[in-house]
Amino acid sequence: MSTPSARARRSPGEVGIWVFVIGDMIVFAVFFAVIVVLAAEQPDLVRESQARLSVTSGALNTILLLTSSVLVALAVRAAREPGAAHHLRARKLFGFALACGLGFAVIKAAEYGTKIDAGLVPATNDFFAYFYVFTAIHLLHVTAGIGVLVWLMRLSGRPALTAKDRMLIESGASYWHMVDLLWVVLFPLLYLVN
Amino acid sequence: MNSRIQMWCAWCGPAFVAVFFTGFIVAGMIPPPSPGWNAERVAAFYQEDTDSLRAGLVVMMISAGLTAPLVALISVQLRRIAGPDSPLPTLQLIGGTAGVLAILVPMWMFLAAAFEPTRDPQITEALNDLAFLPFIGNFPPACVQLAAIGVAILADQREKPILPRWVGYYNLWTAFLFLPGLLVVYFKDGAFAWNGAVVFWVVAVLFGNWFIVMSHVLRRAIREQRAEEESAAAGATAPPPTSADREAVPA
Repeated sequence: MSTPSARARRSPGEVGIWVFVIGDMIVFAVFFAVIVVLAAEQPDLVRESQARLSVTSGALNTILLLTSSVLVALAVRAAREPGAAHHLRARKLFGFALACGLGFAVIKAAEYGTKIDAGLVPATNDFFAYFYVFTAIHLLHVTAGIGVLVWLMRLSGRPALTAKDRMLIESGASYWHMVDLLWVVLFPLLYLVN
Repeated sequence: MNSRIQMWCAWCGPAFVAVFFTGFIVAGMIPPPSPGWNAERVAAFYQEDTDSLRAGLVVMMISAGLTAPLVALISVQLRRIAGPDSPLPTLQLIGGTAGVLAILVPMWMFLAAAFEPTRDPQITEALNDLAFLPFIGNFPPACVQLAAIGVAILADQREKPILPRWVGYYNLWTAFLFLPGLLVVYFKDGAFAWNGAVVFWVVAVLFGNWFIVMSHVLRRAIREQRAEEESAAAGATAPPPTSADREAVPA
């Protein structure tokens, strides 16, 4: 930050993005509660249904998103440094994070395809209804995040970054970290816990 | 004078929430009748306390009119933000206008079901479905309206934006959370049914909250607009308001 006031240092990015991030986390907390209630009410159904999910693709996606989060954090750090070389590095790192995000979407789509081929659709039972809806809502977040990463690539590649540019980069990065965090909770709840 | 009318429009937001939810409770629809009920059970719901049900529905119908002044006010302030050639204030107006109907039309369907509660239960059930599905699931008007507001606020390039940037994010987030409304078509029980945790309870809270929050931030914008106009009228030499002035504005 070129003007390090106490206010600007309080939170990464602009304060407004945290309205979105915290609000979204509260709603996902409701989703998580819904899964926990279902597991308590119908433990056998949840156990049998979970056994038919692919932990491998879920775990692979977890690794992809965690990796992308590290890349985004490194990119934000590079964008803070002055100089075109650092900014090109930031752009490249955002690009790799973007590739991870796309990989996540491809694996998710393949997973949906396999499940539907096996006759497991939202109408199969309550567990699969929630599985499809929650992961689809999360995938929608990932899709929006891919758009955000494309925008961050364009923004961070500029030779000179203003304080406002850096703030926008941090805001976008905060959103991506949230997408990652939500999956890290959603994955064990849907695929593992019972 | 206009600033005073604007203030009245802003207060229609909390007034709507009070009237709408009072009607909702009087109608006995909180919690809502389940979409999983059979025709006889639905018919019994309409026969049980028909007078309160009708009264509550009429109150909710009246409340639909209270959303209109707030929508008009948002268009005025968005016009200040986005300028005369931006389509966003008009887009907001289209979404908000459809929003009035999104409350009004289901109320007429509910009232038709309550009009003759002793008719064939199958018909009452069909009318009840016809009312509840759009009432809870009709998300496009609100999404269009809130997305237009969110984009207009975030695109504001002023040093000190007319509406704070967090309100932009807040509108986009709320718009996003109205999307699961489309799932009411597929679920008869659980979190995504029209009486479910996500589609009904979360959305009901967000919906009411939106009117309160928008009213609050708009009232502040109106006060600031009034102060600007007064200082402009008093003499163009007055210094621009600082952040300290902004904090000093009485709540």
